Amino acid sequence: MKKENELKVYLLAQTTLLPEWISLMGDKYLHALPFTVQFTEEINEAEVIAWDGFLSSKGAYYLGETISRIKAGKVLLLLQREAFTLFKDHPYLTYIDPDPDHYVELPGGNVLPEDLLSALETCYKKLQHV
Amino acid sequence: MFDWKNFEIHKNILSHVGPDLYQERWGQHHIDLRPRDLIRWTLLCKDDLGYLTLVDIAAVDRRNMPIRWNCNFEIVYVLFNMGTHQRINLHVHLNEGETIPSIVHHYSHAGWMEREQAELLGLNFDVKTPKLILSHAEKTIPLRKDAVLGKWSPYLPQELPKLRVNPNKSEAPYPEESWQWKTLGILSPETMGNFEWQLCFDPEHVVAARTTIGFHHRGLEKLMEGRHWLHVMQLADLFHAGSAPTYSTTWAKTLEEMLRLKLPERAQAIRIVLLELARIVEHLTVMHEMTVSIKKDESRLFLNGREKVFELFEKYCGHRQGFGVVRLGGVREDLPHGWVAEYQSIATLLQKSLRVTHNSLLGQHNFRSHLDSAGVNAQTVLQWGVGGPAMRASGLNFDLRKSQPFYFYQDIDFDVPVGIHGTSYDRYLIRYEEIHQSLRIVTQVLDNLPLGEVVNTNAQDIDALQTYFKDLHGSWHYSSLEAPNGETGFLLLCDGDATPYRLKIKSPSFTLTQALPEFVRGLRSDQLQVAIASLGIRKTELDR
Repeated sequence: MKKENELKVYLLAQTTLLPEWISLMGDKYLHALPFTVQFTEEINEAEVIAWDGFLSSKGAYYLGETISRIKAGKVLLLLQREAFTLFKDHPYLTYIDPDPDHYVELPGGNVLPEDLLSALETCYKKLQHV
Repeated sequence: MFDWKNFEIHKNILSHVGPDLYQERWGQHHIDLRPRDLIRWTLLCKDDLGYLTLVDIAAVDRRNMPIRWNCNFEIVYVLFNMGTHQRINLHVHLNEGETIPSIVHHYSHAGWMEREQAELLGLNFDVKTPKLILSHAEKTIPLRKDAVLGKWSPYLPQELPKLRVNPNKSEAPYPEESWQWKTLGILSPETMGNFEWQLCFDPEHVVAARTTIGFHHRGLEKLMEGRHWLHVMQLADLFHAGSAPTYSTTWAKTLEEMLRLKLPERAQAIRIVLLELARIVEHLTVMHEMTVSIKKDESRLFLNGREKVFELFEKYCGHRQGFGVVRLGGVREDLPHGWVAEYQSIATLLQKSLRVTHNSLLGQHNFRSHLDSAGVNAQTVLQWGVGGPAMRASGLNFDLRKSQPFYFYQDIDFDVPVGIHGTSYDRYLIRYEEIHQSLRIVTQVLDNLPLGEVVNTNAQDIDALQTYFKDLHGSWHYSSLEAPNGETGFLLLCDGDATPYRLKIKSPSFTLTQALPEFVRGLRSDQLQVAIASLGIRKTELDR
């Protein structure tokens, strides 16, 4: 059951950023937000999905339903700039381009936990108001 | 430790094939072969010369390079002798359509390596297997030089194997009739996002398992073939951001060995310090993942220790992890004023907090019951080519820092912890002890920090370097180091240009995932997640 003031986050295939996401689970950042961040292992109950937005054909097999849910209104965090620079012209990868209301963009590869906290706060506000 | 006397003995034996077929370069043996001679040479190397470990296999399309024996393709098998610490490279030259004998009967872990090269270069091995990284119906051959990349074809998971049923109903049923196959995809918590898993339960314990990879494949090897040598340095750490700067150091080491570029002593010392700090970060992350998977509150304490190490990185290079600190011929900058004192206070704090956390976990009886699972013995580990803490936990005393010391590890006093049973608990203890050993190494290095430059000034002239690279035309070289989860390395073919002609990455996660069915056999479903976490498999290392 969903608690009051709780944001459920699922980490999906975040490559360079994963160590910084994990940092949020230490004491230093855990209580920095006015709401609780809960990392979930169940993608269907997540409110925010952290992802670089790129999809391979094998990955698409498992993520088709998730993509349709993202496009239907779930907030998506994007590690956009770095991944986009590297892979945007890659013929093997598909870039998931959601509606601007439904994603929050992270600045790039050099993201600090503070940036992640700020992005999560934006997600929380978007979920309440968009 | 690497012994030149043994090297000369092997050189004398191997040179009998003649200078046309045998070469010695950068302390490694190279033999040129045709496919029909491969099995004979494999047996000679394994049974007579003691090269028991297959390190890696890399194939290359040589159509834009001078070719040998009129053959357009080449496959390199890198073999390693754990007794004398030597490497031999078997170069098999072949034409398109020629069949290559599989060596999987002699080296069990050659299976995935051969499959990977077969699908990425379009080669024919005499053992037919399904595709490993790409979709089964994929027609494009991405690593060929004339490859025209198109859209990938759709993926369908493999069918689950059928279980044997006793047709005679009057007799007792076969034990397999109570077994059950189950598919877990990349979204299942048990796979931690890395791979697709097909598991067979009996119904309580795992009796068989199969893994499929390729779900996050970005084609980084192909991407790097189009980048400048020095740009690859920045990209290299994308393979495993959590242990930066391990991959960029490996890449720099490979180039420096090829160019015979000598590092200033102070640069070597700083690289050792950075590598050991990266090892501590990775071990703490893995210990955190292990404790999270069994829902222990102590997991956060490992992260708090890791934050302290991140602070050290930040004070050194401005980034919380070791990105962009390695330069060809040294490191980016010297240690800042006051950094050593900062390290000493953090090291003391880290040691204390680790002991407290460790003792707290050991005091909980269910901690051991989750981790004390079915073990993997040393023979299995050797058979599957597994390295790093997973190998040492099974009782094998092997560490590249001791056996092939790079920089000046041979002058540092440290121990290599070794386990007994090869269980998740042993792997946890190995990581715990390795953190203390890493702190011991860093303390010794900083206590005796050499003076001088931190980068070789000859390495700063890019134009001059380019002329050296031209002299390396057609040269292969493999170089590796001991990363937190095992051996990482780069196998490189140089064509004298400003970009690598062929670059093959050796990553520990690839070997570990292939051997995973051995690591999970006999485990209960609640022990699976912690067992995987203890191995430190990373999706970015897995899918190149």
